[in-house]
Amino acid sequence: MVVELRGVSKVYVRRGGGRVQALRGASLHVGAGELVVLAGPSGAGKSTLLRLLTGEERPTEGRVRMDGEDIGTLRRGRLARLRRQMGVVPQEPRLVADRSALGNVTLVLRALGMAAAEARARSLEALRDAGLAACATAFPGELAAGERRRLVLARAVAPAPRLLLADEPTAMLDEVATREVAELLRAVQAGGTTVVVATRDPALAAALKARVLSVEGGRVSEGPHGAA
Amino acid sequence: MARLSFVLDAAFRDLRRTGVAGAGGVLVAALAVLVAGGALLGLAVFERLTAAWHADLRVVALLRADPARAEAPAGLVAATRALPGVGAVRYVSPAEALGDLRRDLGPAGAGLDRLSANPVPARVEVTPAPGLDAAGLRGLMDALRRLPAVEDVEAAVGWVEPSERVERGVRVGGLVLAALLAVGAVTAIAGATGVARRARADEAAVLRLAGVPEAVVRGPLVLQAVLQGVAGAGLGWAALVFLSEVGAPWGGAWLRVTLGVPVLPLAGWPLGAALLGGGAAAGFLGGLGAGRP
Repeated sequence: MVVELRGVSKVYVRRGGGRVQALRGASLHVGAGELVVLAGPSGAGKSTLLRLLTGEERPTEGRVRMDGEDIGTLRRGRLARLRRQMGVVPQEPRLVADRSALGNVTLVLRALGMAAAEARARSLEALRDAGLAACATAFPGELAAGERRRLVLARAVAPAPRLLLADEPTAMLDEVATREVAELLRAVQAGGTTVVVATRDPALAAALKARVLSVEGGRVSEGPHGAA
Repeated sequence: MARLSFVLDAAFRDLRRTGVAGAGGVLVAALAVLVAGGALLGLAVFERLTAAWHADLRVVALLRADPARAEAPAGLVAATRALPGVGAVRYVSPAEALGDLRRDLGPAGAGLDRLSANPVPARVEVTPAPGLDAAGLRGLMDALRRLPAVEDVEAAVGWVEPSERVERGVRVGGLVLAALLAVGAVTAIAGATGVARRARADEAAVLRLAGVPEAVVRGPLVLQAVLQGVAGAGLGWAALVFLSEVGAPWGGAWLRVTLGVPVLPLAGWPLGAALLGGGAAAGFLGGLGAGRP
């Protein structure tokens, strides 16, 4: 899936009337099957950029296109169809507390209409790839923070999306786990999926060995953070 | 099919998530159904009772003995039949009336044979049309009194008006109470659905982000509310059937002996289907209201 931003600005209006400019004329192009890292400090606008790509936010100015389709103008039904081609790892790992790790992964597959047996098989495979095979029956409350992150990642890749958007996928992970996540993301990309990773973790950016775009002060520029 | 299975599975999970609030919703719905069904059954019993009394009701027009003002029986019967609210008319001649009196008095009626003349007047017995209300009965009696051949009109109709008031009271009171309880059931189910909605907030967010259609995201929540309503209605209905079945053997006999009601109407399937449908509708309304994101 081809991802494109052209002159995108995003302004949040606070309750008191104050305005926060999260993005200022950001532009980027990610080719089909490419792996791109959005690197930058906290509050730089990385998460806003990803939320624009998922359609959770609409740009104040500019265009966000997926395979040439302007996502900012899509109706709810069309947006949902587009999201079915995406896997999303949000910054806050939202997990369903009363479903097991396996249940958390099968949830999306079954809701998308996959038969129970196939969903289970695919979910177990995703859990194994994420290094969570032994935790399939554990509930999110019983998992460590790093395991919960990897569980969210497993859930995002299980439907075999054409685009994977990951926001700080290695937050709270140690070096070994970070390398494992990087390997998983590279494996997903090797399967033909476009992957966009937002991170402030230089270790992850280095381990991914991918094109790095720097996000700072709401602007996107080519090259790693601090290199421009 | 896979999606339907998911929606059903998720609905039952949401139902479990409602916990005590869900049990409350079910109980209020059951109470509403019990009251509504009880009122309907009570009304049915009362309607049978009054129908039985109506069937025995006769308005008797005593005819004048004065030959100058007497009328040929055929003409009088025709004139009476033409009055509004008349079901059937029977002319009873003085001789038949005397025979009736002798039969009613039994051995004490032997003295009637010693009278020089028959003191019992002829009469016209009118059976009111079925369903004739108190106002109609009053009109019929007035119309009979206006007939030239009629001396006096008698009928035991004192019970009709109070019974109509009781029937109206049961109908209106039952409906109002059932409506209030139905609103209570919708509110209780909506409250329980709110609990489930909060409990599944993460799940709904995950599903929406994955592009799952909104109907599949919200469907389970609405379906669990419908299940609450149906479960409540089923519970209320079961209680109604139980009370009706248990009450029938002694209640039916009591009503038959004291009031003449032939059979106590049991809670039949059409009523049950209507009440279950009502429960489902209450659940749907509650779920729809509280299930919005």
